[in-house]
Amino acid sequence: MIPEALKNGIPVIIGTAGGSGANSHVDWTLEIINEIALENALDFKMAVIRAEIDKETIKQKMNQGKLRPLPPAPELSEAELEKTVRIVGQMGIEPFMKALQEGAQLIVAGRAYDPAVFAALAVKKGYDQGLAVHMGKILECACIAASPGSGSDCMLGYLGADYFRVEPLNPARKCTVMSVAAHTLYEKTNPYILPGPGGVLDLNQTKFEQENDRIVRVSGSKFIPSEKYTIKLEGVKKVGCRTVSIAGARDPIMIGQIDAVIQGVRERVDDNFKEAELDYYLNFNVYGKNGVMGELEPANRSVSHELGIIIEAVAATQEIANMICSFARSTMLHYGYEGRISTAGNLAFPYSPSDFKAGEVYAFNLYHLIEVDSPEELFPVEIISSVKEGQR
Amino acid sequence: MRVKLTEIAEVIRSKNSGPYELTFDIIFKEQEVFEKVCGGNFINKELIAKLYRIPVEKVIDIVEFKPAKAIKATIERPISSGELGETDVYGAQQHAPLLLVDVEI
Repeated sequence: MIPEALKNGIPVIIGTAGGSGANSHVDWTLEIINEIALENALDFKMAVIRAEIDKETIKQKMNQGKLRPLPPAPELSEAELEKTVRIVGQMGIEPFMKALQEGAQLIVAGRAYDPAVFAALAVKKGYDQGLAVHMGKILECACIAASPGSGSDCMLGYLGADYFRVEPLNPARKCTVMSVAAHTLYEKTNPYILPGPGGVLDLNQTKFEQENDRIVRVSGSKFIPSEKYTIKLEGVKKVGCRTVSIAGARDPIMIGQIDAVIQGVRERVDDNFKEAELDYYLNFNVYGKNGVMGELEPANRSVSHELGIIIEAVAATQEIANMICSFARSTMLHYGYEGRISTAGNLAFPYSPSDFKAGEVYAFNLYHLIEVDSPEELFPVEIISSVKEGQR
Repeated sequence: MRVKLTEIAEVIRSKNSGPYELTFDIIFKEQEVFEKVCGGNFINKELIAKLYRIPVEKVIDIVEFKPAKAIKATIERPISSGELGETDVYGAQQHAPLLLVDVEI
Protein backbone atom coordinates (compact mmCIF):
# COMPACT_ATOMS: atom_id res chain seq x y z
CA MET A 1 0.00 0.00 0.00
CA ILE A 2 2.73 2.45 0.98
CA PRO A 3 4.91 2.19 -2.17
CA GLU A 4 1.86 2.52 -4.46
CA ALA A 5 0.45 5.45 -2.51
CA LEU A 6 3.80 7.28 -2.69
CA LYS A 7 4.05 6.63 -6.43
CA ASN A 8 0.58 8.09 -6.96
CA GLY A 9 0.83 10.97 -4.51
CA ILE A 10 -1.98 9.68 -2.28
CA PRO A 11 -1.58 10.27 1.46
CA VAL A 12 -1.67 7.17 3.66
CA ILE A 13 -3.43 7.81 6.94
CA ILE A 14 -3.27 5.24 9.74
CA GLY A 15 -5.53 5.95 12.67
CA THR A 16 -5.80 4.23 15.97
CA ALA A 17 -2.50 2.57 15.15
CA GLY A 18 -1.80 -0.91 16.39
CA GLY A 19 -5.13 -1.65 18.03
CA SER A 20 -5.73 0.79 20.84
CA GLY A 21 -3.61 3.79 19.87
CA ALA A 22 -1.42 4.03 22.95
CA ASN A 23 2.22 5.07 22.47
CA SER A 24 3.45 1.46 22.46
CA HIS A 25 1.04 0.71 19.60
CA VAL A 26 2.17 3.77 17.66
CA ASP A 27 5.82 2.75 18.14
CA TRP A 28 5.11 -0.78 16.92
CA THR A 29 3.44 0.62 13.79
CA LEU A 30 6.39 2.98 13.23
CA GLU A 31 8.80 0.03 13.38
CA ILE A 32 6.83 -1.78 10.69
CA ILE A 33 6.79 1.31 8.48
CA ASN A 34 10.50 1.80 9.01
CA GLU A 35 11.10 -1.78 7.89
CA ILE A 36 8.97 -1.29 4.77
CA ALA A 37 10.78 1.96 4.00
CA LEU A 38 14.20 0.29 4.28
CA GLU A 39 13.20 -2.76 2.25
CA ASN A 40 11.82 -0.60 -0.56
CA ALA A 41 14.36 2.23 -0.27
CA LEU A 42 11.61 4.75 0.40
CA ASP A 43 12.59 8.02 2.04
CA PHE A 44 9.52 10.13 2.73
CA LYS A 45 8.07 12.65 5.11
CA MET A 46 5.68 11.35 7.70
CA ALA A 47 3.74 12.65 10.67
CA VAL A 48 3.33 10.99 14.04
CA ILE A 49 0.40 12.09 16.17
CA ARG A 50 0.41 10.55 19.62
CA ALA A 51 -2.76 10.28 21.67
CA GLU A 52 -1.62 9.29 25.14
CA ILE A 53 -2.42 11.90 27.75
CA ASP A 54 -0.64 12.15 31.09
CA LYS A 55 -2.45 12.23 34.42
CA GLU A 56 -1.17 15.73 35.22
CA THR A 57 -3.00 17.18 32.22
CA ILE A 58 -6.18 15.41 33.26
CA LYS A 59 -5.82 16.66 36.83
CA GLN A 60 -5.49 20.26 35.62
CA LYS A 61 -8.57 19.91 33.42
CA MET A 62 -10.42 18.33 36.32
CA ASN A 63 -9.60 21.29 38.57
CA GLN A 64 -10.74 23.70 35.85
CA GLY A 65 -14.07 21.86 35.62
CA LYS A 66 -13.28 20.76 32.06
CA LEU A 67 -13.71 17.03 32.64
CA ARG A 68 -17.02 15.21 32.84
CA PRO A 69 -18.05 11.53 32.67
CA LEU A 70 -19.99 10.20 29.74
CA PRO A 71 -23.02 8.79 31.52
CA PRO A 72 -23.51 6.10 32.70
CA ALA A 73 -19.75 6.19 33.43
CA PRO A 74 -19.10 7.25 37.02
CA GLU A 75 -17.52 10.55 38.15
CA LEU A 76 -13.73 10.49 38.47
CA SER A 77 -12.09 11.16 41.83
CA GLU A 78 -8.44 12.15 42.21
CA ALA A 79 -7.80 8.84 43.97
CA GLU A 80 -9.29 6.93 41.05
CA LEU A 81 -7.27 9.00 38.57
CA GLU A 82 -4.12 8.03 40.47
CA LYS A 83 -4.88 4.36 39.79
CA THR A 84 -5.07 4.96 36.05
CA VAL A 85 -2.17 3.40 34.19
CA ARG A 86 -2.89 4.63 30.67
CA ILE A 87 -5.13 7.26 29.10
CA VAL A 88 -5.77 7.96 25.43
CA GLY A 89 -7.89 10.65 23.82
CA GLN A 90 -9.84 10.24 20.60
CA MET A 91 -8.54 12.86 18.19
CA GLY A 92 -10.77 14.42 15.56
CA ILE A 93 -9.98 15.41 11.97
CA GLU A 94 -8.00 18.57 12.81
CA PRO A 95 -4.62 17.06 13.81
CA PHE A 96 -4.74 15.00 10.58
CA MET A 97 -5.50 18.14 8.55
CA LYS A 98 -2.55 19.86 10.16
CA ALA A 99 -0.24 16.94 9.32
CA LEU A 100 -1.46 16.98 5.72
CA GLN A 101 -0.92 20.74 5.60
CA GLU A 102 2.67 20.17 6.67
CA GLY A 103 3.15 17.84 3.74
CA ALA A 104 3.11 14.46 5.43
CA GLN A 105 2.83 11.63 2.90
CA LEU A 106 2.02 9.17 5.63
CA ILE A 107 0.40 9.78 9.01
CA VAL A 108 0.55 7.42 11.97
CA ALA A 109 -1.89 8.45 14.64
CA GLY A 110 -2.65 7.04 18.06
CA ARG A 111 -6.26 6.76 19.27
CA ALA A 112 -8.49 8.52 16.77
CA TYR A 113 -12.20 8.90 16.15
CA ASP A 114 -12.70 6.15 13.55
CA PRO A 115 -14.20 8.35 10.76
CA ALA A 116 -11.44 10.97 11.12
CA VAL A 117 -8.86 9.09 9.02
CA PHE A 118 -11.33 9.04 6.11
CA ALA A 119 -12.82 12.50 6.54
CA ALA A 120 -9.72 14.63 7.21
CA LEU A 121 -8.41 14.96 3.65
CA ALA A 122 -11.89 15.56 2.24
CA VAL A 123 -12.70 18.30 4.75
CA LYS A 124 -9.30 19.89 4.14
CA LYS A 125 -10.18 20.03 0.46
CA GLY A 126 -13.43 21.80 1.25
CA TYR A 127 -15.97 18.98 1.27
CA ASP A 128 -18.90 19.04 3.66
CA GLN A 129 -17.90 17.76 7.08
CA GLY A 130 -21.23 16.07 7.82
CA LEU A 131 -21.09 13.98 4.65
CA ALA A 132 -17.37 13.29 4.97
CA VAL A 133 -17.71 12.11 8.57
CA HIS A 134 -20.81 10.04 7.85
CA MET A 135 -19.04 8.40 4.91
CA GLY A 136 -16.05 7.78 7.20
CA LYS A 137 -18.33 6.12 9.71
CA ILE A 138 -19.46 3.64 7.08
CA LEU A 139 -16.01 3.10 5.56
CA GLU A 140 -14.42 2.39 8.93
CA CYS A 141 -16.52 -0.78 9.16
CA ALA A 142 -16.28 -1.36 5.42
CA CYS A 143 -18.26 -4.41 4.31
CA ILE A 144 -19.94 -4.90 7.69
CA ALA A 145 -22.32 -2.35 6.12
CA ALA A 146 -22.81 -4.52 3.01
CA SER A 147 -25.03 -7.52 2.38
CA PRO A 148 -23.96 -10.21 3.04
CA GLY A 149 -21.82 -8.55 5.68
CA SER A 150 -18.13 -9.21 6.18
CA GLY A 151 -15.46 -7.82 8.43
CA SER A 152 -12.71 -8.51 5.93
CA ASP A 153 -13.70 -6.84 2.64
CA CYS A 154 -13.05 -3.25 1.59
CA MET A 155 -15.53 -0.57 0.64
CA LEU A 156 -15.08 2.38 -1.72
CA GLY A 157 -16.59 5.77 -0.91
CA TYR A 158 -17.28 8.50 -3.47
CA LEU A 159 -17.82 11.94 -1.98
CA GLY A 160 -19.64 14.68 -3.89
CA ALA A 161 -20.72 18.20 -3.00
CA ASP A 162 -24.06 17.16 -1.49
CA TYR A 163 -24.00 13.37 -1.37
CA PHE A 164 -21.76 10.36 -0.98
CA ARG A 165 -21.96 6.86 -2.38
CA VAL A 166 -20.63 3.61 -1.00
CA GLU A 167 -19.77 0.51 -2.98
CA PRO A 168 -18.32 -2.82 -1.81
CA LEU A 169 -15.24 -3.98 -3.74
CA ASN A 170 -16.02 -7.68 -3.54
CA PRO A 171 -18.56 -8.46 -6.30
CA ALA A 172 -20.17 -11.03 -4.01
CA ARG A 173 -21.48 -8.19 -1.81
CA LYS A 174 -23.95 -5.37 -2.27
CA CYS A 175 -24.74 -2.17 -0.47
CA THR A 176 -28.47 -1.93 0.07
CA VAL A 177 -30.42 0.90 1.70
CA MET A 178 -31.17 -1.61 4.42
CA SER A 179 -27.56 -2.72 4.99
CA VAL A 180 -26.19 0.83 5.03
CA ALA A 181 -28.98 2.35 7.13
CA ALA A 182 -28.82 -0.58 9.56
CA HIS A 183 -25.11 -0.01 10.01
CA THR A 184 -25.92 3.42 11.42
CA LEU A 185 -27.42 1.62 14.42
CA TYR A 186 -24.32 -0.42 15.09
CA GLU A 187 -22.79 0.11 18.55
CA LYS A 188 -24.69 3.37 18.99
CA THR A 189 -27.28 4.50 21.50
CA ASN A 190 -29.13 7.00 19.32
CA PRO A 191 -28.73 6.59 15.55
CA TYR A 192 -30.00 10.09 14.74
CA ILE A 193 -27.42 11.99 16.79
CA LEU A 194 -23.87 10.67 16.74
CA PRO A 195 -21.49 12.63 18.97
CA GLY A 196 -17.82 12.92 18.04
CA PRO A 197 -14.88 15.24 18.56
CA GLY A 198 -16.01 18.86 18.28
CA GLY A 199 -19.64 18.22 17.45
CA VAL A 200 -22.38 15.84 16.48
CA LEU A 201 -23.33 14.14 13.27
CA ASP A 202 -27.06 14.78 12.80
CA LEU A 203 -28.83 12.16 10.67
CA ASN A 204 -32.39 13.44 11.14
CA GLN A 205 -32.55 14.58 7.50
CA THR A 206 -30.41 11.81 6.04
CA LYS A 207 -31.70 10.05 2.95
CA PHE A 208 -30.49 6.60 1.89
CA GLU A 209 -31.23 5.76 -1.76
CA GLN A 210 -30.44 2.73 -3.90
CA GLU A 211 -28.44 4.09 -6.84
CA ASN A 212 -27.98 0.77 -8.57
CA ASP A 213 -27.80 -2.87 -7.63
CA ARG A 214 -24.67 -2.45 -5.50
CA ILE A 215 -24.33 1.25 -4.65
CA VAL A 216 -26.16 3.30 -2.03
CA ARG A 217 -26.31 7.08 -2.22
CA VAL A 218 -26.55 9.04 1.04
CA SER A 219 -27.41 12.71 1.46
CA GLY A 220 -28.64 15.17 4.08
CA SER A 221 -26.25 14.27 6.93
CA LYS A 222 -25.12 17.34 8.85
CA PHE A 223 -22.24 18.09 11.17
CA ILE A 224 -23.22 20.46 13.96
CA PRO A 225 -20.23 21.87 15.85
CA SER A 226 -20.61 21.93 19.61
CA GLU A 227 -20.19 25.13 21.58
CA LYS A 228 -17.05 23.78 23.22
CA TYR A 229 -14.71 21.32 21.54
CA THR A 230 -14.54 18.09 23.53
CA ILE A 231 -12.40 14.98 23.24
CA LYS A 232 -13.39 11.56 24.50
CA LEU A 233 -10.94 9.94 26.90
CA GLU A 234 -10.49 6.26 27.54
CA GLY A 235 -8.42 5.19 30.52
CA VAL A 236 -7.72 1.98 32.37
CA LYS A 237 -6.51 0.88 35.74
CA LYS A 238 -4.78 -2.39 36.51
CA VAL A 239 -7.07 -4.71 38.43
CA GLY A 240 -4.51 -7.48 38.99
CA CYS A 241 -3.37 -10.73 37.41
CA ARG A 242 -5.66 -13.55 36.40
CA THR A 243 -5.47 -17.35 36.42
CA VAL A 244 -8.29 -19.53 35.12
CA SER A 245 -9.05 -23.23 35.21
CA ILE A 246 -11.51 -24.78 32.77
CA ALA A 247 -13.52 -27.84 33.75
CA GLY A 248 -16.68 -29.73 32.95
CA ALA A 249 -19.22 -31.54 35.11
CA ARG A 250 -21.48 -34.42 34.03
CA ASP A 251 -22.71 -35.87 37.31
CA PRO A 252 -26.45 -35.11 37.68
CA ILE A 253 -26.31 -35.18 41.47
CA MET A 254 -23.61 -32.53 41.50
CA ILE A 255 -25.23 -30.49 38.70
CA GLY A 256 -28.47 -30.44 40.71
CA GLN A 257 -26.75 -28.63 43.57
CA ILE A 258 -24.02 -26.71 41.75
CA ASP A 259 -24.76 -23.43 43.56
CA ALA A 260 -24.27 -25.09 46.95
CA VAL A 261 -21.07 -26.79 45.74
CA ILE A 262 -19.65 -23.46 44.59
CA GLN A 263 -20.64 -21.82 47.85
CA GLY A 264 -18.94 -24.62 49.79
CA VAL A 265 -15.75 -24.35 47.73
CA ARG A 266 -15.69 -20.57 48.23
CA GLU A 267 -15.95 -21.02 51.98
CA ARG A 268 -13.12 -23.54 52.01
CA VAL A 269 -10.88 -21.22 50.02
CA ASP A 270 -11.70 -18.22 52.21
CA ASP A 271 -11.12 -20.26 55.32
CA ASN A 272 -7.79 -21.62 54.10
CA PHE A 273 -6.35 -18.19 53.26
CA LYS A 274 -7.99 -16.11 55.98
CA GLU A 275 -4.83 -15.78 58.04
CA ALA A 276 -2.69 -14.82 55.06
CA GLU A 277 -4.75 -11.62 54.65
CA LEU A 278 -4.71 -11.94 50.91
CA ASP A 279 -6.85 -9.78 48.71
CA TYR A 280 -8.24 -11.81 45.82
CA TYR A 281 -11.25 -12.18 43.58
CA LEU A 282 -12.57 -15.69 43.04
CA ASN A 283 -15.32 -16.37 40.54
CA PHE A 284 -17.03 -19.44 39.10
CA ASN A 285 -18.66 -18.83 35.75
CA VAL A 286 -20.90 -21.76 34.94
CA TYR A 287 -21.80 -22.34 31.30
CA GLY A 288 -25.07 -24.19 31.10
CA LYS A 289 -26.33 -22.06 33.96
CA ASN A 290 -26.40 -18.31 33.21
CA GLY A 291 -22.76 -18.32 32.07
CA VAL A 292 -23.46 -15.98 29.14
CA MET A 293 -25.97 -13.52 30.55
CA GLY A 294 -25.27 -13.58 34.28
CA GLU A 295 -27.76 -11.48 36.18
CA LEU A 296 -29.52 -10.34 32.99
CA GLU A 297 -30.64 -13.92 32.31
CA PRO A 298 -34.41 -14.25 32.53
CA ALA A 299 -34.54 -18.04 31.97
CA ASN A 300 -32.90 -18.76 35.32
CA ARG A 301 -33.10 -22.53 35.31
CA SER A 302 -30.52 -25.05 34.21
CA VAL A 303 -31.70 -27.90 32.03
CA SER A 304 -28.32 -28.89 30.70
CA HIS A 305 -27.05 -32.41 31.33
CA GLU A 306 -23.52 -31.05 31.53
CA LEU A 307 -21.92 -27.84 32.73
CA GLY A 308 -18.79 -25.93 31.75
CA ILE A 309 -17.12 -24.28 34.70
CA ILE A 310 -14.49 -21.58 34.59
CA ILE A 311 -12.77 -21.04 37.89
CA GLU A 312 -11.17 -17.61 37.89
CA ALA A 313 -8.84 -15.99 40.38
CA VAL A 314 -7.60 -12.39 40.17
CA ALA A 315 -5.06 -11.08 42.66
CA ALA A 316 -2.26 -8.54 42.98
CA THR A 317 0.37 -10.89 41.56
CA GLN A 318 0.32 -13.81 39.15
CA GLU A 319 1.68 -16.10 41.89
CA ILE A 320 -1.20 -15.34 44.25
CA ALA A 321 -3.75 -15.76 41.45
CA ASN A 322 -2.17 -19.11 40.52
CA MET A 323 -2.32 -20.26 44.11
CA ILE A 324 -5.95 -19.24 44.70
CA CYS A 325 -7.06 -20.77 41.41
CA SER A 326 -5.23 -24.03 42.03
CA PHE A 327 -6.56 -24.32 45.58
CA ALA A 328 -10.13 -23.64 44.42
CA ARG A 329 -9.76 -26.10 41.54
CA SER A 330 -8.45 -28.95 43.71
CA THR A 331 -11.06 -28.21 46.40
CA MET A 332 -13.85 -28.36 43.84
CA LEU A 333 -12.41 -31.54 42.31
CA HIS A 334 -12.70 -33.40 45.61
CA TYR A 335 -15.54 -31.53 47.28
CA GLY A 336 -17.87 -33.86 49.20
CA TYR A 337 -21.32 -32.60 48.39
CA GLU A 338 -24.64 -33.99 49.67
CA GLY A 339 -25.53 -37.41 48.23
CA ARG A 340 -22.24 -37.81 46.34
CA ILE A 341 -21.72 -41.29 44.89
CA SER A 342 -18.92 -40.44 42.47
CA THR A 343 -16.02 -40.20 44.90
CA ALA A 344 -13.02 -40.11 42.54
CA GLY A 345 -13.39 -36.51 41.34
CA ASN A 346 -16.07 -33.97 40.47
CA LEU A 347 -14.52 -32.26 37.45
CA ALA A 348 -13.48 -33.22 33.92
CA PHE A 349 -10.47 -31.17 32.84
CA PRO A 350 -10.05 -30.85 29.07
CA TYR A 351 -6.38 -29.86 29.39
CA SER A 352 -3.29 -30.71 31.34
CA PRO A 353 -2.01 -28.54 32.91
CA SER A 354 -5.48 -27.48 33.97
CA ASP A 355 -4.74 -23.88 34.95
CA PHE A 356 -3.93 -20.98 32.63
CA LYS A 357 -2.15 -17.78 33.47
CA ALA A 358 -4.14 -15.04 31.74
CA GLY A 359 -1.76 -12.26 32.76
CA GLU A 360 -2.53 -8.68 33.68
CA VAL A 361 -6.14 -7.54 33.87
CA TYR A 362 -7.27 -3.98 33.22
CA ALA A 363 -10.65 -2.30 33.55
CA PHE A 364 -12.01 1.00 32.27
CA ASN A 365 -11.93 3.75 34.84
CA LEU A 366 -12.03 6.74 32.51
CA TYR A 367 -14.72 7.25 29.93
CA HIS A 368 -14.92 10.99 30.02
CA LEU A 369 -15.15 14.11 27.90
CA ILE A 370 -12.49 16.74 28.23
CA GLU A 371 -12.84 20.31 27.02
CA VAL A 372 -9.93 21.58 24.95
CA ASP A 373 -8.93 25.06 23.81
CA SER A 374 -8.05 23.78 20.35
CA PRO A 375 -8.62 20.44 18.59
CA GLU A 376 -4.83 19.94 18.36
CA GLU A 377 -4.10 20.79 22.00
CA LEU A 378 -3.66 17.18 23.16
CA PHE A 379 -2.35 15.81 19.88
CA PRO A 380 0.98 17.35 18.84
CA VAL A 381 1.94 16.68 15.22
CA GLU A 382 5.55 15.53 14.94
CA ILE A 383 7.14 15.44 11.48
CA ILE A 384 9.78 12.75 10.92
CA SER A 385 11.36 10.75 8.11
CA SER A 386 10.52 7.19 7.21
CA VAL A 387 14.19 6.32 7.61
CA LYS A 388 16.29 7.38 10.57
CA GLU A 389 19.62 9.24 10.46
CA GLY A 390 22.32 6.63 9.89
CA GLN A 391 19.97 4.34 7.95
CA ARG A 392 20.37 6.36 4.76
CA MET B 1 -52.76 -11.25 14.95
CA ARG B 2 -50.12 -12.19 17.49
CA VAL B 3 -46.69 -12.87 15.95
CA LYS B 4 -43.23 -13.58 17.26
CA LEU B 5 -40.55 -10.95 16.68
CA THR B 6 -38.45 -13.65 15.02
CA GLU B 7 -41.11 -13.96 12.29
CA ILE B 8 -41.22 -10.25 11.43
CA ALA B 9 -37.63 -9.16 12.11
CA GLU B 10 -34.67 -9.65 9.83
CA VAL B 11 -32.11 -8.84 12.51
CA ILE B 12 -32.24 -9.08 16.29
CA ARG B 13 -28.88 -8.36 17.90
CA SER B 14 -27.06 -6.95 20.90
CA LYS B 15 -23.75 -5.12 21.22
CA ASN B 16 -21.88 -2.69 23.43
CA SER B 17 -22.45 0.98 22.89
CA GLY B 18 -19.37 2.06 24.78
CA PRO B 19 -18.18 0.09 27.83
CA TYR B 20 -21.13 0.98 30.05
CA GLU B 21 -24.11 0.33 27.78
CA LEU B 22 -25.71 -2.56 25.93
CA THR B 23 -27.76 -1.78 22.87
CA PHE B 24 -30.33 -3.99 21.13
CA ASP B 25 -31.35 -3.62 17.49
CA ILE B 26 -34.52 -5.07 16.02
CA ILE B 27 -34.61 -4.53 12.26
CA PHE B 28 -37.94 -5.37 10.64
CA LYS B 29 -38.52 -6.93 7.23
CA GLU B 30 -41.57 -4.92 6.17
CA GLN B 31 -42.17 -1.18 6.45
CA GLU B 32 -45.85 -1.75 7.24
CA VAL B 33 -45.13 -4.19 10.05
CA PHE B 34 -42.43 -1.89 11.44
CA GLU B 35 -44.95 0.95 11.55
CA LYS B 36 -47.54 -1.23 13.27
CA VAL B 37 -45.07 -2.31 15.93
CA CYS B 38 -44.05 1.34 16.48
CA GLY B 39 -47.69 2.45 16.51
CA GLY B 40 -48.59 -0.17 19.11
CA ASN B 41 -45.62 0.87 21.27
CA PHE B 42 -44.90 -2.80 21.94
CA ILE B 43 -41.17 -2.37 22.37
CA ASN B 44 -41.09 -0.07 25.37
CA LYS B 45 -38.95 0.53 28.43
CA GLU B 46 -41.14 -1.64 30.66
CA LEU B 47 -40.83 -4.62 28.31
CA ILE B 48 -37.04 -4.35 28.15
CA ALA B 49 -36.81 -3.94 31.93
CA LYS B 50 -38.93 -7.05 32.43
CA LEU B 51 -37.01 -9.12 29.85
CA TYR B 52 -33.67 -8.35 31.45
CA ARG B 53 -34.88 -8.23 35.04
CA ILE B 54 -33.62 -4.68 35.58
CA PRO B 55 -35.29 -1.57 37.02
CA VAL B 56 -37.00 0.49 34.33
CA GLU B 57 -34.69 3.47 34.99
CA LYS B 58 -31.76 1.34 33.77
CA VAL B 59 -33.33 1.35 30.31
CA ILE B 60 -31.65 4.39 28.80
CA ASP B 61 -33.64 4.86 25.61
CA ILE B 62 -35.89 3.30 22.99
CA VAL B 63 -35.43 4.83 19.52
CA GLU B 64 -37.35 4.13 16.32
CA PHE B 65 -35.04 4.54 13.32
CA LYS B 66 -37.17 4.81 10.21
CA PRO B 67 -34.44 4.69 7.53
CA ALA B 68 -33.57 1.14 8.67
CA LYS B 69 -37.06 0.04 9.78
CA ALA B 70 -35.48 -0.52 13.16
CA ILE B 71 -36.21 -0.17 16.83
CA LYS B 72 -33.26 0.24 19.14
CA ALA B 73 -33.24 -0.19 22.90
CA THR B 74 -30.28 0.65 25.11
CA ILE B 75 -29.72 -0.36 28.72
CA GLU B 76 -27.10 0.34 31.32
CA ARG B 77 -24.80 -2.63 31.75
CA PRO B 78 -25.01 -4.26 35.19
CA ILE B 79 -21.22 -4.72 34.99
CA SER B 80 -19.13 -2.63 32.59
CA SER B 81 -17.29 -4.32 29.72
CA GLY B 82 -14.16 -6.14 30.88
CA GLU B 83 -14.82 -5.53 34.58
CA LEU B 84 -14.45 -8.47 36.99
CA GLY B 85 -17.48 -10.74 36.89
CA GLU B 86 -18.53 -9.62 33.45
CA THR B 87 -19.46 -12.40 31.01
CA ASP B 88 -19.74 -10.85 27.54
CA VAL B 89 -17.00 -8.30 26.77
CA TYR B 90 -18.56 -7.17 23.46
CA GLY B 91 -22.15 -7.70 24.56
CA ALA B 92 -22.82 -9.71 21.41
CA GLN B 93 -24.88 -12.52 23.01
CA GLN B 94 -27.40 -10.68 25.14
CA HIS B 95 -30.21 -10.60 22.58
CA ALA B 96 -31.79 -14.02 23.24
CA PRO B 97 -34.68 -12.86 25.51
CA LEU B 98 -35.91 -10.70 22.60
CA LEU B 99 -36.31 -13.80 20.43
CA LEU B 100 -39.23 -14.91 22.61
CA VAL B 101 -41.16 -11.65 22.42
CA ASP B 102 -44.42 -11.57 20.52
CA VAL B 103 -46.43 -8.55 19.42
CA GLU B 104 -49.92 -7.83 18.13
CA ILE B 105 -49.99 -6.63 14.51
